[in-house]
Amino acid sequence: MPQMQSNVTWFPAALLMALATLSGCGRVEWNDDLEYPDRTSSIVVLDKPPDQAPPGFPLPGRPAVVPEWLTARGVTLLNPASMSEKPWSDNWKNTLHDELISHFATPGKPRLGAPDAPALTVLANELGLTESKLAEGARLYRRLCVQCHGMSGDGVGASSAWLSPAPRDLRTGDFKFISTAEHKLPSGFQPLKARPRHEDLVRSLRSGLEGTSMPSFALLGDESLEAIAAYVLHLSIRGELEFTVMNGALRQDRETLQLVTKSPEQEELIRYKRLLSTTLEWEDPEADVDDFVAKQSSPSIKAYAEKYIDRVLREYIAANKNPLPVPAYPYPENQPLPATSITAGHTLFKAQCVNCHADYGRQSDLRFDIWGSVVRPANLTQSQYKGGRRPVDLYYRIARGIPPCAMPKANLGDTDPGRAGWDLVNFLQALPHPDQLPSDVREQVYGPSRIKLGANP
Amino acid sequence: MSAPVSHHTDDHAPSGFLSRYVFSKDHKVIGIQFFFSSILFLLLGGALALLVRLQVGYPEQALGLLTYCFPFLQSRIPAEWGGRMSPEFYTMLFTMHASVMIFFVIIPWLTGAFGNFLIPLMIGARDMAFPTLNMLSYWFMWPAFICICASFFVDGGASGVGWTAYPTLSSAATANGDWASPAARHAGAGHVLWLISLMFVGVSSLMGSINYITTVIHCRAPGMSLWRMPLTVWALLITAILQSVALPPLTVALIMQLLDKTAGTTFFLPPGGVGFGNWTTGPGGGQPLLWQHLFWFYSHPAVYIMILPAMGMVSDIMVAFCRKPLFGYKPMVFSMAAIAGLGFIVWGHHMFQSGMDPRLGTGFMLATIMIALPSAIKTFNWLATIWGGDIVFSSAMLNALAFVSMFIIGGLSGIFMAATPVDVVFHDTYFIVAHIHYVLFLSSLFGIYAATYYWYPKMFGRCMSENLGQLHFAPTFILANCTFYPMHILGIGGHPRRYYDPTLYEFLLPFQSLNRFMTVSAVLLGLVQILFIVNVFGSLFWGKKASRNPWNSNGLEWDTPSPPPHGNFDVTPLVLRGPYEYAVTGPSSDHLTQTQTEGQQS
Amino acid sequence: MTTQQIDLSEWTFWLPIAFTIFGIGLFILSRFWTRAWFATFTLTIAGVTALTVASPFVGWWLPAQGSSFSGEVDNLFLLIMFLTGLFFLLTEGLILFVLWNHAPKPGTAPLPIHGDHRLELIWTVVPGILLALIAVIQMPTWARMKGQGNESWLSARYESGGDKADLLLTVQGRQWEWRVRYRDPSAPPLARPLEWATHPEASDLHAVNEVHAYPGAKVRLLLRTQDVIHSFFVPELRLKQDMLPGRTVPTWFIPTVPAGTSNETRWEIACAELCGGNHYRMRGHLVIHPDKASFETWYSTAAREQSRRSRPPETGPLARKTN
Repeated sequence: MPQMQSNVTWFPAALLMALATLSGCGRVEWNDDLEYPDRTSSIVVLDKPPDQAPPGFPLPGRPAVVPEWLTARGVTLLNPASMSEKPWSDNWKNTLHDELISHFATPGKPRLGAPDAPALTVLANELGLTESKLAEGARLYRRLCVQCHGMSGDGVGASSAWLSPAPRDLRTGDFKFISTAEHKLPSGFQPLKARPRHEDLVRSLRSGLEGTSMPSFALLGDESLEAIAAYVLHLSIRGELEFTVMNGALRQDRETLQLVTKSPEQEELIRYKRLLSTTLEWEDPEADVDDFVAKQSSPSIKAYAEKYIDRVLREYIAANKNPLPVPAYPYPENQPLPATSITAGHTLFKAQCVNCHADYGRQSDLRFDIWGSVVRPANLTQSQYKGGRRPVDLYYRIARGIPPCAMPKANLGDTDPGRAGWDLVNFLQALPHPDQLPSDVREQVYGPSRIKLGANP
Repeated sequence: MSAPVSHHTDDHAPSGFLSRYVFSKDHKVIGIQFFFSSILFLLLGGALALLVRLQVGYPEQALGLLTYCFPFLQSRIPAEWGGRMSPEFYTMLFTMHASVMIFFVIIPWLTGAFGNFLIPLMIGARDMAFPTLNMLSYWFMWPAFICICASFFVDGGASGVGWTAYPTLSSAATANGDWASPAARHAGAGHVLWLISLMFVGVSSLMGSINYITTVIHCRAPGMSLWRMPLTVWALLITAILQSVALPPLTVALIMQLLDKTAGTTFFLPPGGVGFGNWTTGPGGGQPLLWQHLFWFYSHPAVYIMILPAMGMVSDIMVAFCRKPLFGYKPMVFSMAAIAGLGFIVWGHHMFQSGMDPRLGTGFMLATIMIALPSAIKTFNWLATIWGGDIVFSSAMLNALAFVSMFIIGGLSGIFMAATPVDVVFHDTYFIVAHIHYVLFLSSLFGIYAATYYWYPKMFGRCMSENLGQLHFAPTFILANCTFYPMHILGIGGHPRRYYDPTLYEFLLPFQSLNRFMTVSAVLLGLVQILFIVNVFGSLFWGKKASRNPWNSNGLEWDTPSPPPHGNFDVTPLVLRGPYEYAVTGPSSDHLTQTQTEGQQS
Repeated sequence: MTTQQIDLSEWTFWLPIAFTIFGIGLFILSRFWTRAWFATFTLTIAGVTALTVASPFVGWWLPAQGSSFSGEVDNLFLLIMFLTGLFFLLTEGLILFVLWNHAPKPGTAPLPIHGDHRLELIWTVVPGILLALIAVIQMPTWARMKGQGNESWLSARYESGGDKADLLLTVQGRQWEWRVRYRDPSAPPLARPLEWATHPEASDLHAVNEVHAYPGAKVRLLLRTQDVIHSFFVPELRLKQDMLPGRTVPTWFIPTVPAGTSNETRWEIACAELCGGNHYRMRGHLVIHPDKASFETWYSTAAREQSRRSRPPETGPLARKTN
């Protein structure tokens, strides 16, 4: 049987193929030679989101479409790919890459602070970003978060394309739901970036963000959540450094020498740094963070990176020590919400909130956020709160705003801001439940003919 | 030579290459066209299945070498994960595996390839009743082929909402004008193509079944009464009736979903609409459950469409290889008819947990459990048929025996799913995956293999290699059981199907070793199938020349040359008896063909 | 969470290869010995039988029983298992017997038998009766599971009233988590609970991915979904129910735990209907407290936390350092 024999020899070959196919696969591990990808997505130059709504754009999120909308509104988009053009040579770009590697290492073995910068490691450890915790966080992140948030935290993981709103790009250092007190800075100063507190990060992980695609991870347990939060900070700081350097470099590229001449703004900058030194316990106020741009040479990037990480870590530590004060609840606890308070809150709401939360959020217009993506001010009649549903969470949102989304803090007046704040909270709490609202408020919100639903006789 | 009594005045004698081999109206060429396209899609569907298994068995494993070998995968598997496939990609894999296997392999292979090739030959007709319609039924598959293949390459990838395509996951659409879905990455343009492709398949099947019914009713040779038809023809006739009744609702449902996706209708969108993250659809006015009713009204009979022809063919093959008459010819026919009839009132057993009124569930359970009865009758008749036979262990017979022994498992596991309280546990777990693979892989596909070995000589004039066929059979039989039987155990443990990474669940961790075992078995099983492909294509050139009747069988098809010429029969046969006259003292052997007069040389 | 690696030495890897080689060996054997095919079929069928019989002893079996009706369901399963097992052994045994005696005795030939009326009657009537029996015996359990404990299958419909439920909660599925909302157990009972599922009250307790209950409580779940079809599945409860967009589907269970359980029992909630890419990640916990008192403690703690109006206590590394 000549034909059969040829096939019998062929069969072991097939078996060997099977073995080779299977054993040739590597484990999905972020091993040491896998590096964080360099930033390639556009840098949206925004100090504050534009106050214009994108007209007629139906679906919040969708980062793939949004840049066109932004450029149409005069927002500058910087392309990191142009960094390799002159005067920023490839070498310059590589230096930034090397700095990021030396301070943040790789996804497989993350750390914060280069070995030759022990001061950073000390600060990082104080913040809980120890190597062991980062390793555990990276493991969990790889398993649970990377699909949406991407390996470098860019928010464009494999599953992200059709999520609405788009998953958060962690690489700008901006966070939405925070409970940190604002630094009191003299007028004319740009406020410090709104840094989240540890609790804020863990709360988002634990409860998820209702109304977005971010699910709850409460079942992992507190320790795992802490590890993920630590790793998220690691990604965020890494991304922020990259973002800032690229931003500065690319702006320099376009508006030549604007940052280099000693302008009045430059003088102001130094004053500003002095100020930081008091709030952030920063030792070296004179060091010019923008020095590197002037010189355009690589050694200064190294210095800048260290300084920048140092400053960001201090900001995070300061944020943790500086919670937003919550005034005492002025009404008796464990009682139904007082009608007068709800009515007062309603008045405040009508005065300050309806511009964005039109018709109590039922007909909100879309807005831009600092990432350049489109967001929709919440529909507050749904009993759905992204930042948490505890009264204290609502208070944080009112008293602190949501800085990256241009939601300002409410103006609670000077006479009794605590009471005004709680009035607004009480109103928001009652708003989704028609039976909780005083009848005149209910008529204004739900109309006169509204049948009393939800309340069973 | 006496003048043939023909049912056709027009002979459609082919003249050129195109009309002979491509746009042929000859039922045999059309059958062979279906045969080869099914084999090609078998390879595609099998490859998708192996990727699915790799992911479930080794959820944290990179595809490594595979992505290196196939650039197509490389561009679709995020490199930054170290080459692990994304969960969305995984949903696409199992969706397309099921769709390809059901709509492009099993159904076309059974009804398209064998139905076309065998019906006229077995009833003594010169061709199908409507040759042009027959040609169209094949060429209507081509838009479907193109759509389904193109869907892999469109934005978002091929459909990934399960082959059942339940709304609102599948039907939710944005008002943007593009087809991106807010519900799932793989429910956009790829899913639209999936819907269109299935519509073409449906139209093709509908044309085919009208043709089969007409042919069987009108074009039988003189003397070929209904009760003298081989079971294969009976099975194909009943299948054709099933298809012609069940397909219109599916086509309607597909059109409705297509309109929902592209034209903004709301057949399957509930009155309040649905919300995805921060975005809500407008108000609807439809009902997601409607799709399930329409879909299963087709897709449950589709299961019988996929098994009945195999049952018929396996009956004929077993008779030929155990040299004994078929036991219980009429009960076999009646039970097939009963399966088909009952098959229309059991669709609700797919929806016991769907939120349908549970009282309906009780009725559907009764009908579903009773449908096991005709299957049991068939099994017992097969057993009685081979009982005391003189069994020839040919490749075809081995596969037919595998069909019977594995159909028993597939049939019995169906009872668990039919019993409503037990189904609460097993619904949408691996138990149903095991069940459907025992019915479709270990039964239908083994039936297809058996039929291929058996009728290949008639189709191509050459025999397939027996050695290679049997070498293919032994590991296939063992490995198929290794791959699919443990799924029952997983199902009993509550392992939900369509899970990308079961190790996330503590209660599934003990089962992961079984998952790995099944994956390795599946890879080997896939590799062994290459033997079959080699056999099919190699035998075209190197196979032993086949005589008219290589198996000494009785059917009319063996009365013609191999392969039969255009017009099939030299003389229109005069049928004298049924096809199962074995174990009789014939003139030269142990059987009497349907046209032999007693004492005549075969 | 264990990592899954291809381990060449594990049985899962070498056993299939051994089976393949074994199959090829059987093929070679069949060149000389026709009963090699009998061996192939016998060993395969014996293999699957052995796996089924051995599975319960290595932990590959039904999950623990956790609800009032899980025992009933398991008994029905075992009954079907027993009956189908008998049929399986009978029919496969006959096939194997035929394969062993694959040829008639020398000197005899196969008999030209076309059928037997009496045999047909036997194997139609006997399985028919058994199957009908199997169907009828399911009905009371089905009615109890889907109705509210009523045994008549005619009354097995989704009732709208939440009569005599100890716990009433809405579980809303969404991509990809379970949003849970409890009705305050101390609040007066509802006349139309299905309406409550869509119109929350201010006193409701909200939670994510965790359903809490206590043994013996009649828990009524009102299942809803925000986006696509999900399916609420707790293997231990033998409970699975799809959530339909636009509808409220009620279901219920009474959790049971082994006597003397003093800690909370945690079972996993899984989604059993494909709901998008991350379908596999819709994992929740069903927490059964040891008794009603500890459930109430949990409830009041959670309710207090939900109405928190003061700054929560500090957590995290920095807080630990200062404490």
